[in-house]
Amino acid sequence: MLKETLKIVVDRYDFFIPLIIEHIYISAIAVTIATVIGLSLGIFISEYKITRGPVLGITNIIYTIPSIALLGFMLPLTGVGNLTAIITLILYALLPIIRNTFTGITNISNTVIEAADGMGSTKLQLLTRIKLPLAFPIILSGFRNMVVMTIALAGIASFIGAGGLGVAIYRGISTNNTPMILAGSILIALMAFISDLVLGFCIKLIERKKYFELKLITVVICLIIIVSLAYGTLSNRAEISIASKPATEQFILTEILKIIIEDRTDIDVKIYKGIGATGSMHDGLVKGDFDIYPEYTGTAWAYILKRDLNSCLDASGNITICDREQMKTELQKTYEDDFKLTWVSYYGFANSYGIAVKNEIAKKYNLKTYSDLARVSKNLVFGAEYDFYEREDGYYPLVKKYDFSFKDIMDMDLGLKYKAIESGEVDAVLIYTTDGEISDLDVTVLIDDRKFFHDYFVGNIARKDLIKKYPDLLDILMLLNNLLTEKEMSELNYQVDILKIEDKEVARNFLISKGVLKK
Amino acid sequence: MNQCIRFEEVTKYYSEKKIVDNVSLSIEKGEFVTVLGPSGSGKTTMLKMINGIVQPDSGSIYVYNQDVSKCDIVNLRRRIGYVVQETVLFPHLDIYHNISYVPSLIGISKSKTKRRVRDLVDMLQLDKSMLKRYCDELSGGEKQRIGIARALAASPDIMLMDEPFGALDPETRAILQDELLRIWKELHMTIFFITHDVNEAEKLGSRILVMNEGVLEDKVPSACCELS
Ligand SMILES: Nc1ncnc2c1ncn2[C@@H]1O[C@H](COP(=O)(O)OP(=O)(O)O)[C@@H](O)[C@H]1O
Ligand SMILES: [Mg+2]
Repeated sequence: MLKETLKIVVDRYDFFIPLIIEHIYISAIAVTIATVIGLSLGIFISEYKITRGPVLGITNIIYTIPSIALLGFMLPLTGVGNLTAIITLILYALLPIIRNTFTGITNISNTVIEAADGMGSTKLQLLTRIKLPLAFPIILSGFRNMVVMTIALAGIASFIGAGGLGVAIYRGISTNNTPMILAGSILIALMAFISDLVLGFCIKLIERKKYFELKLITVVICLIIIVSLAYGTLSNRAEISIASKPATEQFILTEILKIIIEDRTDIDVKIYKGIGATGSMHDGLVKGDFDIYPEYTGTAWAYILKRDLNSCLDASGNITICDREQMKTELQKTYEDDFKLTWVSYYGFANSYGIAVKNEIAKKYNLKTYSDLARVSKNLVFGAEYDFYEREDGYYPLVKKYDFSFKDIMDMDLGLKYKAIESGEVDAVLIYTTDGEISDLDVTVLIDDRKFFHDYFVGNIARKDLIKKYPDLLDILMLLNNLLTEKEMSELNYQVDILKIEDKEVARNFLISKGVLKK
Repeated sequence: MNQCIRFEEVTKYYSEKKIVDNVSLSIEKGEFVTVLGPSGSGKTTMLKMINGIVQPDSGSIYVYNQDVSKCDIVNLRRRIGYVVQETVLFPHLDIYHNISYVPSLIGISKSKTKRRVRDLVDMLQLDKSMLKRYCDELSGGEKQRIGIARALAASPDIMLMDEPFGALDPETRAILQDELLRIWKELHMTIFFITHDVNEAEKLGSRILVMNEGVLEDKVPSACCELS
């Protein structure tokens, strides 16, 4: 495992190095700002001791809020991306620096301060020439804590779309790629460890009063930070931001979008991978945190429009099941009118729920449709992940509609589902029609002949003002219309999930094979 | 009259307790005043009122006829050399920067400061190589010399010295006392010197005061007592 992790770092150094630089960039900005604010507040509360209680109290409370929760609070205020991450990191970083500045200054022996005062130091001279230098070792040890903590915490910040090495971890989690998770984590730990060593060494230098060496190290650290700041601000010049939910399929689709836009225009595209569930994706897009993201029609219908599948009107005014085109038309209208968003192009496939059975079972009972399955279901075991048994469009309504009566049902993890059907532990299993694993298994996907499941066609939702700003974009996005079949998507997912090929590469190769992109 | 320091009916309390009790005193330019008294009698408190670190509860203190509580205290302090009890040196500064602390506050040029430090090193018979070192590597006697050099650095006319030689062995103490007397004569300064050692007070002082539970009295010279 360690070997694979090392290999992934070496092979994909061009993926990791920008992440490392961005990690430094985010941490450095947070640390710098937190130091300025924290030092000022620390000095303030040591001069005006009455303010000490409230200031330390508030920072203490912030410090105890779990980081995921704090990121969650900040999200509606400042949106997805690096800004929210940096603000959150600053909030956490404040406590150690304020507390140590305060402790450092108040711990200075009174006689030293009185001596300097009695010799005619002004208040400012007393602060800069006596108090701060004497408190410096304690302040620096607070700084050391803060830096290590910030570097570690910055890894979590990719959950709200910030960059840095957390991206690798998050990517690894969503594509079930353990070496990737390990690589991200180890690199973060390594960065924190190195900072800890260097700052510890600085504290030693101060204790031994080796100020020259200290200055040298400070200059080197400043250089590293300046370089990553420069890199960070330059690379942050993206003009279009594209976001994705945390799923392999969405990663590939956003890479496809980026490649095609950057190929046909001079626009820079930045991808925020794995932002969150439908709700936060929608809010972020409406607010303009990003400009485009891929969404599923059925999901938008149910979660954003809050409509039932059986809520459309037919020609004579009766309530019926919505047909595909009707759904798309109504979605487009509501999105344009209510949200100033537009569904630009549909990739041509749907990622829906489906039921798959082992080939030998399909052959044995001659199964093609769900109704076929219902006939023999009392001989079979059915498996699905936990939440399918809870959903309103889940197991029990499905059983009712088709009159299934499985011999047994099992709930299992997403990842274990496919292993279970391979080993024969279950006979029929719930799938997503584009899951990468399907193309690797001896299974038959049955037909939902009585239309129980929604259609989950994948399209791109874009902000209308983006299209207004770049009218050419419409044609470019239309290049993606009907580009992929369900089978092709499942193959691409397979390449990323199972073969562990980088999503960017999978996307590029696919576009080349389709002739959309020249080699 | 060349009046330098004047106390006018000065009283100071610390939580109900009278520490300095209605002290009136006038010190003239060029006097070497030694203040004797047991520990806790209020000597340090009195000294700290001269450079405004402690404010009196009633009465006034004048330095060069300026009311300490009303004048520009930072500037006044820079003209008063201050040797703190047990001589605290600044631990984060090397000896050179300890000695040149007050000149650096005033903003005196580097070259001028350098010359001044060199003169002081000669005057107090310090070792030049010491200047780059820090105070935790020095002996008690060396620290005292540096403390005095630091107080003298901005060429003050007044020196406030709070038991500067209290912690020294008798031999070093005698040497430093002699040097202080020499410097006092050379520079024509006014010195306010606290000690609890009678011999030291008599050896150094051109005038000896005694503090007792906050009350200040002139000491009758021992020579006259022996006569009677
Ligand atoms: N800042 C202070 N707060 C309260 N009490 C003090 C303070 N400074 C000195 N005292 C008290 O005042 C008394 C005289 O102190 P001090 O002037 O230092 O005496 P001396 O220098 O003669 O030994 C002592 O009892 C001491 O405890
Ligand atoms: Mg005293």
